[in-house]
Amino acid sequence: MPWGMVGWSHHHAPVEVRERLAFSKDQAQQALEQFGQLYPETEAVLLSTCNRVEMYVAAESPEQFPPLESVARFLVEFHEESFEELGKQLRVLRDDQAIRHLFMVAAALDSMVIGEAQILAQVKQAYDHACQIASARSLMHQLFQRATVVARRVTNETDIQKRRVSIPSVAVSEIAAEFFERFDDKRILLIGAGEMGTETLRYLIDAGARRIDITNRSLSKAEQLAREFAARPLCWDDLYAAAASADLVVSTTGASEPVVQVEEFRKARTTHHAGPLLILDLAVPRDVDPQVGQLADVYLYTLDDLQQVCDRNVEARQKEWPKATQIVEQELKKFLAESAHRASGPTIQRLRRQAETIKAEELKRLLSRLEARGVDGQACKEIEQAFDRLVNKLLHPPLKSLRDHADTHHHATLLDALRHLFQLKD
Amino acid sequence: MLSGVTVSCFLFSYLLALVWEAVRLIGKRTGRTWITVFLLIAGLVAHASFLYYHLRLPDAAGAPLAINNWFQWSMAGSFILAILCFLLILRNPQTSVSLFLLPVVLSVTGIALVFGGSGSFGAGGSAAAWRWIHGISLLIATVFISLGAAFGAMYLVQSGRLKRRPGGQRKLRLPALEFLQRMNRWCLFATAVALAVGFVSGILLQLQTDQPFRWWEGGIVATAALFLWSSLAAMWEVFSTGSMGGRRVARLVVANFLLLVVVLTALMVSSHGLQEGRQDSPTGGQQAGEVPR
Repeated sequence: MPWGMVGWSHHHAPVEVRERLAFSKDQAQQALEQFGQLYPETEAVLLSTCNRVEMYVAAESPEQFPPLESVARFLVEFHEESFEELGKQLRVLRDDQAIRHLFMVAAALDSMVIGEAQILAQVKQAYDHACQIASARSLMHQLFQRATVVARRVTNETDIQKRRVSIPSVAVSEIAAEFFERFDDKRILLIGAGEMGTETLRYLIDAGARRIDITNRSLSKAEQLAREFAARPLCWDDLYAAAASADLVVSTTGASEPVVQVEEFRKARTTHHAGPLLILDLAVPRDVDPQVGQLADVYLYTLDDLQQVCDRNVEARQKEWPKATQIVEQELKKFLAESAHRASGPTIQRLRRQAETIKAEELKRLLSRLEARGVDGQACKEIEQAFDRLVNKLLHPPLKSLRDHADTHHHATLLDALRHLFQLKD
Repeated sequence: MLSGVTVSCFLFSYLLALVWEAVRLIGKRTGRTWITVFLLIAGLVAHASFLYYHLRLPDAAGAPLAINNWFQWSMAGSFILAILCFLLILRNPQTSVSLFLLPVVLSVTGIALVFGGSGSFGAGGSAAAWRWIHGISLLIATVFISLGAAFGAMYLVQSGRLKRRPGGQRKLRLPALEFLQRMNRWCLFATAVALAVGFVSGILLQLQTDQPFRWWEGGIVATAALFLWSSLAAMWEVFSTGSMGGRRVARLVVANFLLLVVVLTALMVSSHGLQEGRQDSPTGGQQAGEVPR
C-alpha cells in the first residue's frame, strides 16, 4: 500500500511561505472534506503548525493513490496561491520515507527546537480532526498509533526531552529550581518590560509564583503588565527596596547603564533582608552591576550564563540523537513488516483457497476410483493426509519467503510474482 | 541468632552504600538509588537487631530497653541518624544527600568504637528519670548537630558552585538551597533546645545525687560550652535582621559539629556520667573495654 507526504516545513520554507499556507482548524476540516470528495478512496491527515504544513496520504492500492504533486497543488490552490511560486520549497516523500518523516515529526526530532514537547499533541490533534470527518481510517489509524508509540519511546528511553533549551525555561526549570523548592511563597520582582523577562515570568507563574512585583521607568507600562500577570505595580523609586527584599529578581530593561548599582543595593539589603537572592539579569547591556554578584548570599546570573546552560543542553540532546533515530528505525521496520503482512493477507488466502480447491478435486476423483476397487476407509484417510502434507510442503517455501521479506522492498515484487505464477485473480 | 549481629555487619552496609553513591558520580548507573536504599535497609535491620540485643542485655528479665554506657549511647545516635538519612534519601532520590549524611553516620559509629568501650552509667534510684531525660536530650542534640553538619556542608558546596557557575545537569546533585537553609535553621534551633534541656536536666540530676557538684569536670565544662555556643548562634539567627544569611548559618552548624566532636571526645575519655567504682562492660558478660564488633 502506498504512503505519501507533501508539505512545507521550517527546513526548506521560510516563515513567509509557511504562513501563507497555514490552515486554521476550520480551514483544515474544509480542506480535508474537499480532498475526500476529489479522492474518496485516499485517506488523509493535515498537520498545520507554525513550523510546518504537511499532508499525509495513504491508499490500499497504487491505483487508488493520487499523484503527490496533485495533492500539493490542491493545498496551495486551497489558499488561492500560486503553485509555481510555492512549489519550489515543496517537499515530497513516498512510502517508507514518508512514514519515517512522520515518526521523526511526532518524536520532535524534526522540530526547530529538537525535543520540544508540543508537537506530539499537535500531531494527535491533526489526526483527531481527520478522524472526525472520516478522512483518516484504518491505514492512518495504524500509522498515527505507531507514530505515538515512537514519540513515547523516544521520550521515555532517551533524555532528548528532559533538558530545556530556551533561556526562560532554563532560567526557571534549571537555575531557579536549584534555589527554590516552591515559588508560591517567593517574592518575585520583574524589572523592566523586556520580552525575555515577561516570558520568564510566564514560566514562573506556571511553576506556582503568586507574589509578583513589577517595576518599570514608566509606571503605566508597569501597571499594564501587572494587570496582565495579576501582579503588583511598583514605582521606579522603590526599585532597591523591592530588589533587596525579593527572593528572585528578573531584570530586562533596555537601559544602557546598570540600573542596580552595588553600593545602593548593599545599603538596601542591610536594612531590608539578607536571605539568599537570585538575580536573573536577562538584559543586554546588563542591568545589574556585576559586583552585586559578589555580595554574600546574592547569586547573579547573566544572559551569557543561561546561554551556556542552553548550549550544554542542546549538546546533550544531540548526543541522544543516535539513540532516538535508532528507535525510529526499529519502529519503522516493525511498521513496514506489519503493513506488508496485512497487505499480503488476501493474496495468501487466495493461494491457500486455490490449493485447497485443487486438492479437493483431485482427492475426490482418486478416492472414488479407489473405493470402486474396494480400498478400505483407513487407506483413504492416509491418502487424504498425504495430500494435505503435500499442499503444505509445496506452499511453505513461497509463504516463508514472503514472510521473511516482509520488511524489505522485495516484498511487493514477491507478492506480485506469487499472483502471476499461481494466476491468482481478485 | 541476634547475638551473631556485630557492628561490622551494619558498618559494612553503610560503607558499601557510601561507595555506591560515590560511584554514581563517575558514570551513569541505572537503579542506583534503589541499590543505595537496599543497602541502607540491610544496614538498618542489622543495626536495629544489634541495638535490640545489646540494649536488653543488662536486664534480661524483661526490663525496657536501656542505654547503659557511652558505646550504646553512640550506637543509638548513629541508628537515629541512619534512619533520618534513609528518609532523606527517599525524599530526595535524585540527589546525592547520602554522600554527606553517611559519613556522619559512620563518624558517630566510629567515635563509639574508639572511645565508648568501657564504663557503665548508673541505673535506678530517685534520679533515674532525670538521668534518662539528660541522656536522651543530649542524644537528640548530637543527632541534630550531626545532621546540621551534613546539611551545612551541602549548603556550602551548593552555594559555592552556584556562585561560581551556572546550574544545569550535574553529576553531584543536591537539594535546593532553600531546603538546605531550612534544614540548617531547624538543626540550629533544635540543637539549642535539646542542649538546654540536657544541660538543665544534668544540673538537676547532679543536685539529686549525694555526690558533690564538680563544676570543673571536663565533661560538664565541655557540654556547657557547647550549650552556650549553640544558644548564642540560635539567638543571633533569631534577632538578626530578617535572617543572617544562608552561608553564615551553614558555617555555624558545621562549627557546631566540630565542637561536638571535641565535647564527645572529652565526655567519653572522662568519667562523666559513669558510675564510680563500676567498670563492667555494656554487654554484661563481656570484659571492660570489649565491644561487640
